[in-house]
Amino acid sequence: MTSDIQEERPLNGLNLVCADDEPIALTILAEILTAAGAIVRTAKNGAQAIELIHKHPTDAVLLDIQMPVMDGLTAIQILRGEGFDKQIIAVTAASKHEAQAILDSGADEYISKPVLAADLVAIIQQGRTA
Amino acid sequence: MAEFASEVIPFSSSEGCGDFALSRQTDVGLLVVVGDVAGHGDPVVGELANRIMEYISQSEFHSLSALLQGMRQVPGVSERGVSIFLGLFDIHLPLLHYYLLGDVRAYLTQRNRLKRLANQEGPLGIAPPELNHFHSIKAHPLDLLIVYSDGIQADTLPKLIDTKAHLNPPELVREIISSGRSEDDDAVCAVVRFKGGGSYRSESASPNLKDRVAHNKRAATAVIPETQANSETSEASEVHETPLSPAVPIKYVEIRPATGADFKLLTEDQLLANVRDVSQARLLSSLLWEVVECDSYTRARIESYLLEAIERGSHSVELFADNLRLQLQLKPDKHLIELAMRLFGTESVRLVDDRAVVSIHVATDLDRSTRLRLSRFMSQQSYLDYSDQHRREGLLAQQAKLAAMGEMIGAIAHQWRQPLNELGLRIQQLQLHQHNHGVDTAEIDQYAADSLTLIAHMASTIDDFRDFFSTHQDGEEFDVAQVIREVLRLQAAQLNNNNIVVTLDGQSFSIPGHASYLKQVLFNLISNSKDAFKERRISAPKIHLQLNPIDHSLSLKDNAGGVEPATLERIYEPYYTQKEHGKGTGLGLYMSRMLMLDHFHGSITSTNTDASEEAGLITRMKFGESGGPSR
Repeated sequence: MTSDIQEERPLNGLNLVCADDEPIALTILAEILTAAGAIVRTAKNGAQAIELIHKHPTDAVLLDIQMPVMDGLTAIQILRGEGFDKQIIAVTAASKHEAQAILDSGADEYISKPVLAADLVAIIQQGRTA
Repeated sequence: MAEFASEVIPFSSSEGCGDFALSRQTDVGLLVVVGDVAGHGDPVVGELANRIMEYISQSEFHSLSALLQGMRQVPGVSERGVSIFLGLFDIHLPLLHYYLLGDVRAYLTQRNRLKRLANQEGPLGIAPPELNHFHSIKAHPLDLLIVYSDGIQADTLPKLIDTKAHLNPPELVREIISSGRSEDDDAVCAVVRFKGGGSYRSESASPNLKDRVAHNKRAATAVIPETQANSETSEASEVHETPLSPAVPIKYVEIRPATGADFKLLTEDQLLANVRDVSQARLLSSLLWEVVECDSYTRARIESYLLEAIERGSHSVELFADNLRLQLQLKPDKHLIELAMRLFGTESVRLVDDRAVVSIHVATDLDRSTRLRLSRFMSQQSYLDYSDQHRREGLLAQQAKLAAMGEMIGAIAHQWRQPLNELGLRIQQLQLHQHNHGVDTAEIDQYAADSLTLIAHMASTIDDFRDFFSTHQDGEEFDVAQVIREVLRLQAAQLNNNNIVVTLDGQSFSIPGHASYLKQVLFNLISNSKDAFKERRISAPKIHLQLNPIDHSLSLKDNAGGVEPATLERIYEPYYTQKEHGKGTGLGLYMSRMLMLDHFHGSITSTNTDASEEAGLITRMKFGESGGPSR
């Protein structure tokens, strides 16, 4: 699956912001998405993610939900409140019940942990063409 | 009944002497006390010794255990520590009951054979009370009890006994002191010659039974058959050689059980229960040992007899106890009577009308018996109520356990979420590297090592959770702070994810019982705080745990906003929950309370924080001195 990503560079030139408080997971995810052609900026929490979005052009955002300082849910609400209309993907281990609340708060999609790169790339691609 | 002699030799002056000895005639026998306050030559030590003697001389005597408990409360005892011998020559039975704690030696010459009495860890006030065990030993006429402090060399008596046993007590005291006294400590020696008194025949009579029955007749549901009582009292007047002890003061207790009916019954000095089948017998006998103290051999005899009686069809065995005597009453059966005679002695069994009465001499703890009786076995009716309640509690416990396991699975999911995600990403990263530039041996080794570390972490999480409900590995005592840390470790992921700051303060202490039960209580309380934080979107959630080793208590305070007063009154009721539908069972706090009451013999209460503090809830848990398997 990764070979397909590499060969096709399906996210070529796409500006992404990824936020997760786990540095190893964040680094690896960024590496995989970069290999798929994206320009990835990383943040440790929701507040940093919002700051990056304010500074740089952003096509899609990946937000972990449970983070210190500012959680993903709060960040989504702030971004939508500001009129941010690009794709927001919540990355979570939440149950279906909780996931519905995440979608209701303004996220376009949610993806469950553990994250499969191919699924994530497909979701970002769908958002791009939608 | 006995001749007492003692002598105290101070190290320097009598004001600074911590050794003491005294005897006192009580309603139930001759009390003998020999003590040694830690230290010597210091007036403080002498003052403490005087306070203890004053307490022993002036306090109302109920039992050795009550006296020991009272002595612990004498100011200074818990700071200094006191080595002590506390003995009682029984007025009814040829027995010596005793506690022997710390550096005091005691011997009994049983028909000229020297027997050293069992020392226990001491001293009083320093060693935990649960280490203080009660003993009884048979005494024969002319047996000598010899007790001395560590101001006399330990082997003095064994060296003397062959040649000096014929001396009278004052002479023997002087001989022991002159032969064995150390020059650098206070010294005390006491000798008692038991002259007889009490007999196993007299045990079959119950001196204050008449009074008890008279009062019980006024009670709605008295349980001692009147016919037996009449028979006993007439027999008592014939066989007793010693004066009967006066009746224990009787108090009536009013109980208002859940049904709303009033019960007024039973006296302050008796217990107990009807035993209906084997499983309940096991239950009852386990409770019985909360109020009855005896050695393991006697206990085994009583338990085996109880079970044998039930198995042979005596479905209604009734147990009575006062502070010195346990009675089993049951339907007569030749086999059972023979068995009782073999186990407890011929004199222990009598037949009154159609009932066999077996009297066994043991000690009981009246305070506990009162408490137990109040909570459980008030009457036949309340016993039946208890059975129903027990079944209900069993069902509730099962439901609560299932709910707790659900919470636990949620916690495991949170604990595993991160390492599982990382493991998945690492695998995909390796694939990517292989495709891009190939992977060398060093990278494979690093990958394997990192992955195995993650897997080991996940495995240890599972072990932690598996042990959560297990009680088999629990010891008799556990450290409370250690249990708190284990629970916080289990909930670390959820606490971190919700940015909850937890602090723990105070010196730890140990309590008896199953650690896993306290884990369940803490897990419930922390989960409740966490849910309240989330629901109310508290911006800086905090939980503070405070240990207090002085009164063996633990409090948990959060800043989740507190609880409405009307709700506060009900939070420990079963099935009561304020959580959203589907999120709470209403059993967590109920089971926590049950565990605190039944297993830790303590309490749990919740209040809102003071107006001066951040709004929140404080839950206080107090642990009793004894805890142990009761479920």
